[in-house]
Amino acid sequence: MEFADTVAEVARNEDRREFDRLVERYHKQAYNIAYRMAGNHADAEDLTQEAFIRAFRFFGQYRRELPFDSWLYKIMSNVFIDRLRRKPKVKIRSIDQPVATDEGEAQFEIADPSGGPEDVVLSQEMDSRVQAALQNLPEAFRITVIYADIEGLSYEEIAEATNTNIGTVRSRLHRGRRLLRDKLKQYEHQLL
Amino acid sequence: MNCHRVTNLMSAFVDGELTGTEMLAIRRHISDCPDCAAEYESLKMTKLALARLRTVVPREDFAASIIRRLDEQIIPPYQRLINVVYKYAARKLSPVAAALAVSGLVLAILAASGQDRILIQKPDVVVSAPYSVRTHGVSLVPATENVVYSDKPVVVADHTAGANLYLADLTVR
Repeated sequence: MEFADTVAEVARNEDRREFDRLVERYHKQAYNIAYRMAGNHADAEDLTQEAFIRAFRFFGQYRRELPFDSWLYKIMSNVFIDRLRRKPKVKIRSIDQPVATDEGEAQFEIADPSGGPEDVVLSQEMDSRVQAALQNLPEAFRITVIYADIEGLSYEEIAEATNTNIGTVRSRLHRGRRLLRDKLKQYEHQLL
Repeated sequence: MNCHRVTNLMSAFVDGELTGTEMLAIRRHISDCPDCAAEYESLKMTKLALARLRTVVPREDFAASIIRRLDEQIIPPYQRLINVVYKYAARKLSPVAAALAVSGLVLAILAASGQDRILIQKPDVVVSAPYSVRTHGVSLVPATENVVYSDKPVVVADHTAGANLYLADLTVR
């Protein structure tokens, strides 16, 4: 059986080098999404690792005509929703008090101060409130909102990534945003 | 358009994901209807709030730790075979050959480097190498002393020029 191992190994080594490069390139983007889905670093790490492991296991079935990130969005959507749904629900904090970030400071990138209005970032306090509001959304709504408003995907792309149709994307996004809006209404002046 | 319909379409309107006609109709409605205008502003605010969330970054060595986890992954040989076949089948393919390949028959891979090998799926195939494989009556590798015996069809992935899958007839010498 040595020959079998040699072939598989050679093919696998080439794939492996390519895959490792893809991990380097996409892990930060994936982590951000995972964090916004999970709300804490430990779970974000678990979810991200799980997504890349699954992507690796099925790397041979990945048709390289699809951009890797489109394929990764699909995998993340499956993994994140599945894993988070199975987690026992934590107590929902009132969002009147700002949520302390876990294990000390969450790391944030500082936005470019010379950019436009969308380059302004929320204060840590507001960030925590928005995150807490996100946690209250059902997982399918949450991923839809994240893909639309954080990742900037089109409805078509979101439908592809979540294995649904545009009508469902539209509905989830609308309902998700309205739920968030209702929770954040009292902070409106701080958000604009 | 009435308020009820406008409200339902409001998120799609904020995203510009409606037809031109619908966009115009809603814009007109909003200019006359304070309630819907308020709904529009509040949804726009929500979208903007999300866009303004900070980008959360992982710890420095996170990529390295993912890569280490991959080292621990044991991909079963059958899964490896399917992965390899999918990769080749995704390019050029004979549908029959591809279908047979994924059903788990013997797969031979001819590499451009000349390092040809047989990847064995079923244990009842006896192989010695180097081997001689004939497909469509044309010999793809230089004839050698040794032969391949198989009681199953062999699918050959030919890498020497592009990636093609063929059904091979094995020559018994």
